Amino acid sequence: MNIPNLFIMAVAIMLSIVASQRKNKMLGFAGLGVLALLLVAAPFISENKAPLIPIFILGLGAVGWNIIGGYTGYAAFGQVAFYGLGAYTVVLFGSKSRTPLPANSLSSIQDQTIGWSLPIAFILAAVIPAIIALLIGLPVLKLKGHYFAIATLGIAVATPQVIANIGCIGGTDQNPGFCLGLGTGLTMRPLPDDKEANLTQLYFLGLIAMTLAVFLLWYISRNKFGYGLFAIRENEEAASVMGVNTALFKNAAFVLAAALTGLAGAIQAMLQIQVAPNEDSIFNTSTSLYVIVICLLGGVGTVWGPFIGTFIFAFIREVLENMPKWFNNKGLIEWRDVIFGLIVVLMVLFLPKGIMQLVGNKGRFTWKIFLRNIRENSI
Amino acid sequence: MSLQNVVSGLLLGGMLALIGMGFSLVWGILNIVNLAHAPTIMFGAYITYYFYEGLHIDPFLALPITMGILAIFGFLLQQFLINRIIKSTLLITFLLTFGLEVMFVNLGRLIFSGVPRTVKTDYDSASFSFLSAEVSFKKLAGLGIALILTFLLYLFMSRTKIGNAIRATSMDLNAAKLMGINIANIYTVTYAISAALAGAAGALLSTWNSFTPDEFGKYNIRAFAVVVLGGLGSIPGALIGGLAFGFISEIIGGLTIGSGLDAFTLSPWKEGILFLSLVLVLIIRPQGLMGKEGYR
Repeated sequence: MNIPNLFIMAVAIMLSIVASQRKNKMLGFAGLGVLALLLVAAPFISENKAPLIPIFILGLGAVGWNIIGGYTGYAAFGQVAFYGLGAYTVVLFGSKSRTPLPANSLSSIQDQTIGWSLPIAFILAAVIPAIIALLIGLPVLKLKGHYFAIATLGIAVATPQVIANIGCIGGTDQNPGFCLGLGTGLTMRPLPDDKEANLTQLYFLGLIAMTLAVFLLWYISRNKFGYGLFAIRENEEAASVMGVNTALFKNAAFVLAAALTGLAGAIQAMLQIQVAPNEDSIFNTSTSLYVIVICLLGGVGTVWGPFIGTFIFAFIREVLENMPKWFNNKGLIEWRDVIFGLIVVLMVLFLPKGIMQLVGNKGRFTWKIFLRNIRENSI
Repeated sequence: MSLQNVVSGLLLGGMLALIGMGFSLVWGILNIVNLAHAPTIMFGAYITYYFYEGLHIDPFLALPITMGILAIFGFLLQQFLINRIIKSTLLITFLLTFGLEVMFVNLGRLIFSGVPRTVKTDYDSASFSFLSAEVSFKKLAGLGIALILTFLLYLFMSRTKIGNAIRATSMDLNAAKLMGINIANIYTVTYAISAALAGAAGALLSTWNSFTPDEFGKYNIRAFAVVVLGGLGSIPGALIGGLAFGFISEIIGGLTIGSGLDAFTLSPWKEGILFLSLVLVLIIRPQGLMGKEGYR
């Protein structure tokens, strides 16, 4: 079958909105069941698998951001640092080393990788960003508000530069332990040749990881850890007085977010031929902002928010990608990003609490919601 | 490190101070980190370019016109858009300015195209040598204008009624309201001033090098750095922060350890070191190197 991805995404949006409703339990479970069926069938009925995988990549990042930004209220604007680190880790540990080169050949050190099995590399891709997040988080999470946002942004700018400049770690000059690409990047070759089968595998890896991540989000939201995070978001001093170990909770949230984002980056790395420590490759700053926009679309700080937001974001992106093709007008590609910016501005103005606000109104749609949102926030 | 580095650090620092000042005003008074600042600089540069190419007006003479146009632009933006969500959370206001940045930069790509533009005046390469350093006249004039604008803004803030009202608003919002200050208007005026300063920076930058719409994004994070170094909302702070940032980046860029084949230059580490030290300053002295939080 050849069903357009756009259709799959639209149905997934509707089903996940139905599934997220708590009023009618039976309807909710039915929606969830059909949604699960659709997502499992998606790679086999889709016309083109490749655009389906990035849904889960950004979705995982969004779930991660929702833990630190949505639940804890710390607006982290540098998630791309962990995304890139995850990608680097999986290439460094998972990619097979090329044929051995003469020991004194200087160019050979660019392709040194470790070549462990991919599952181990994927686990490391979550663990290493988490460890680095812990080291960064201990000092940075003491900052508040804008200062925290900017510190994370600064780290996101500095990380690729540090990677680009470190070069080689361990070993001797002639025979280094492993190299981080010396500014030119690492080449990714872990996948066998059958591209279609690999895309299907990656799709299911993404789907399973996303499902587990959303489940984790749900689990956190209803135990002591989650309540602690909510308390920090509402009032950190009060939370501390009530006996919440704020430093521990904040750091745990930051580390969890980094682990999920690192995993997302690892899956993205599998889709690329090469990862390089610069803005054009894996460290593109807009990734940090996409994960936030996804949460904004679905609802910041909710369990279903990142999930629904992911499909809405993917839908919008698919429409914007295809627009030039449909209207047979190359010039439209230039308008794509303008429209993306406009959507963010309009969302923030009219629906800052996400799309769920429309559905939450007992299923009835009124223009009053938009006006009320504007009135609430305007001076 | 040489005298040349010190001079170019000073010239760059003046420009960064001008950029940081507008950014710092909006952040300190409206409590918004304004990512739309960089596109405003871009508009300033392109307005100057079109004045020069189309009407043959000298970039320095066109400066007040550019500032005026962007002040009106800032006024409208604040009045009709940013004031509508100003009471929202930090995340929402940040995302709004992010959306505006994406929109404006890409509109810039569409309207101005990606072709590099230059504003090449007759006196473009005129320079004089000061001891062992070459100083270009246009850059020196830029520094002078940046200093004059800083001084004018300082006078405006401390001597005029509106300036005092802006300072009062940043000190205590509710008390300012009780004193009969119209907060919405204060915000609009502040944003218009900030946009005009960004326009001036863009106009001056347009004479430095050739530019494309993509080039201006980096000024947002530099403005951050200047504000963090100098302290939030402080005009002298922005000046000191800008100069400090200019110096540090030029000196790191020119620093060489050792000599001959083993020489180790820090210039590829430049941005990394700058932003890591920025994070360090944030952690150790969140109020900035100068003074206290809030406007002074």
